[in-house]
Amino acid sequence: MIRRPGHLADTEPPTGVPLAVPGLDLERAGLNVEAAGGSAERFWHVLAAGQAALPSDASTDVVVALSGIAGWRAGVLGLRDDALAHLADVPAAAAAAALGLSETDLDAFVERQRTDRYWWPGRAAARGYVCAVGGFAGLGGAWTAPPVDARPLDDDGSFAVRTGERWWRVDADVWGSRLVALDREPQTVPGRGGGPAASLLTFAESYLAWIYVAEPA
Amino acid sequence: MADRWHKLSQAPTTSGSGEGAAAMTAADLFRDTPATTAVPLDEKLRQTYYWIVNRAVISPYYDVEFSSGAPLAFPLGDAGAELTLPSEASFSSNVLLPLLSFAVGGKCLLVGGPGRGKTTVAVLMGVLAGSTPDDVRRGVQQGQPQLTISDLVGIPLPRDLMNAASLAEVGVAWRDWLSRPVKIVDEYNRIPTKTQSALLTMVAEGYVESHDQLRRTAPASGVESWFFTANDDAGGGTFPVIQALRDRMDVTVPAAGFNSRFLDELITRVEAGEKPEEHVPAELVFAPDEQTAMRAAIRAVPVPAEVRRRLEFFLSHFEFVQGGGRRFEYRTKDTVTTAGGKVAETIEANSGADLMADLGAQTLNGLSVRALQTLIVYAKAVAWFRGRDEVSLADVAAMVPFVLRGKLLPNPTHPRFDVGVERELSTDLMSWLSDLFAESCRQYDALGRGRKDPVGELLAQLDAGLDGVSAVEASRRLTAVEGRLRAASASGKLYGRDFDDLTALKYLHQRYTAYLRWLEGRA
Repeated sequence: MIRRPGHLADTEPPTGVPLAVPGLDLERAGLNVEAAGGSAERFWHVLAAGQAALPSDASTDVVVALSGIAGWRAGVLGLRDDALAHLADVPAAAAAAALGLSETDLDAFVERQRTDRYWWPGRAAARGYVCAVGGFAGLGGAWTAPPVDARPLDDDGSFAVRTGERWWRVDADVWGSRLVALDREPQTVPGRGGGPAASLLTFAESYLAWIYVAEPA
Repeated sequence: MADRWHKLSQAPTTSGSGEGAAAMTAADLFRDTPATTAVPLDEKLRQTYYWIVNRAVISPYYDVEFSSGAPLAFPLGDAGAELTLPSEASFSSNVLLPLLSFAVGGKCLLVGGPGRGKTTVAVLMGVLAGSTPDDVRRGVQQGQPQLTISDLVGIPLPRDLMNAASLAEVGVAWRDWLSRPVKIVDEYNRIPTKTQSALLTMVAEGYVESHDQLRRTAPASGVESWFFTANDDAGGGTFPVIQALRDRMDVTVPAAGFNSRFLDELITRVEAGEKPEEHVPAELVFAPDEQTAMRAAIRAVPVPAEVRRRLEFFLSHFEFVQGGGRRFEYRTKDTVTTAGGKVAETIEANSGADLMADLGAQTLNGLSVRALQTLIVYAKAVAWFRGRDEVSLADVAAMVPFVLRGKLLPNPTHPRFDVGVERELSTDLMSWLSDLFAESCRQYDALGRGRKDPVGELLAQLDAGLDGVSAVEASRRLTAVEGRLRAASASGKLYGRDFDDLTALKYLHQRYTAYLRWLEGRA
């Protein structure tokens, strides 16, 4: 089997189609999610799941807030802070459905996310594995050489890794990841960054790098 | 809402900043302009390549190989076949070479039997340049025996023909395709000779002329690429291709056959009635200024001295032929050819050299400056495409067969093509050209040309300038030049690889004797 980059939390194939909302262009929102590094299909899928749990008279503002949560869930790292800040603006059932969590796990999820950007209830079962990034370019990935020299950067959730002669910055959280090619080797401060006990693991025989949290919780 | 064509490689969206993901709000998702920054052009070209091979053209061939160290090889069958597994990312030539031609503004000849996707690849390049699929298809010039110059370039306006007092007053209704960034000529070996000549002016000079009117063919970006297709490049077709036009083809790429294991994908497309050129993601289209910037970036990739020296050595093999003339400088294949002689016979008549060691004996001609320029540009292009900071020997080696096919012609009477296990090289020109370059590199190493380059040192001394060089120093250098010539004379053997060095020594001798005369006159 060919292993491809992706998040362990993305278990369901994204097949859902959201309901149209007057005044909101959900097609455009999906394309913007894609442009910001997420998956449009997953955005539409999780938004549809969230909409199904909304009351029928939910306002447009609630759907916009739900879209932000769905965008984060679909892999847009830049929406993380906004989504966490507006979780309370959306009915808990809808927010939990969009995130793919049970409603009873939602409070614990929000609490754990304050200190651990990689936490979700299913992580313990995967013994700390969060996601795989990169992958061989010939199979739709990003890299033309296996990754080596992985190390954490100063910012929370960021790492540096080298493929061949090129350095990359890897940003990730529980739902998404992003790669940026760097002009030069980045400066790193030992002992900082990466997140709580998180590591970027590389393997001699693989084009994928894994984000792994040493403390399964 | 999903589009099965719209899948790009998960490549980065920005380069070099090193910043984390920019913060967004939910409201940003509904804005018209996505808040993204531009993808680096080399990354975009790689995304385009992988989109084409993964989504558009079914081409599971990886014949442009790159490896660090020796690749894993499996001998297969009992006729010397070998399958190699390269250790680095390798590429499909029938997609990579057209894409590089698009990037550098080159001329690409796609050869192969009917139905192998040659025109589809060319049309995709037109769409990547920003034209609509319909416009690109409308602009494809179909080669056929009745194609006239007017069919190709346009017609003078009948009204002007009636009223004009001079040719200058005749307006010409130019064909729209002439100024497209990507120009496609299908089956160019079916075009009549006279029309081929008009095509040559466009390809070679970048303009077209009719009724004393002139039109430049370059688009706004200044980058125009040409794609020609032909069923073969060995003289077949309705009309022979004029040599000058054939020489203008920067690269020649054989189209790959269909791999039967990918029939499912083919059936899916037949059932959906889809054409790949109608599904090119908008993110992969190159705006005119991006095309200009891409070509400039490619040209800026440096060629290190070590690679240059090996390239010099490779080029040096082919011009010289012992017995081609009497005066030393005229002992070239060009002398024989322009006098109507047979180069193969001249090579065979040379009993003094080892034909197997003399790489020049394997070819009927030398390399033109144009071919060399093309090789350098394409080596830079593939290095840039692979994300390298400078051109490596592997980049040059990868481009040699595609650039030199049809330009460096094999000598069919050479023992290599005549006997034994290498007879297949007489039809597999790509492998022969690759091997020629590899053998040149082996000779380069065996002769220690990389360790010591006395002629190069003498040339570098002169390049440093003659200001302040004393008569004594100039005489010393003259003696060194004569010493090198004396050593070559004493060896009793002469190969093509020495020809350029010997003529360069004569050049040095002339420069220093002229300088000495000037010094004496001034005294």
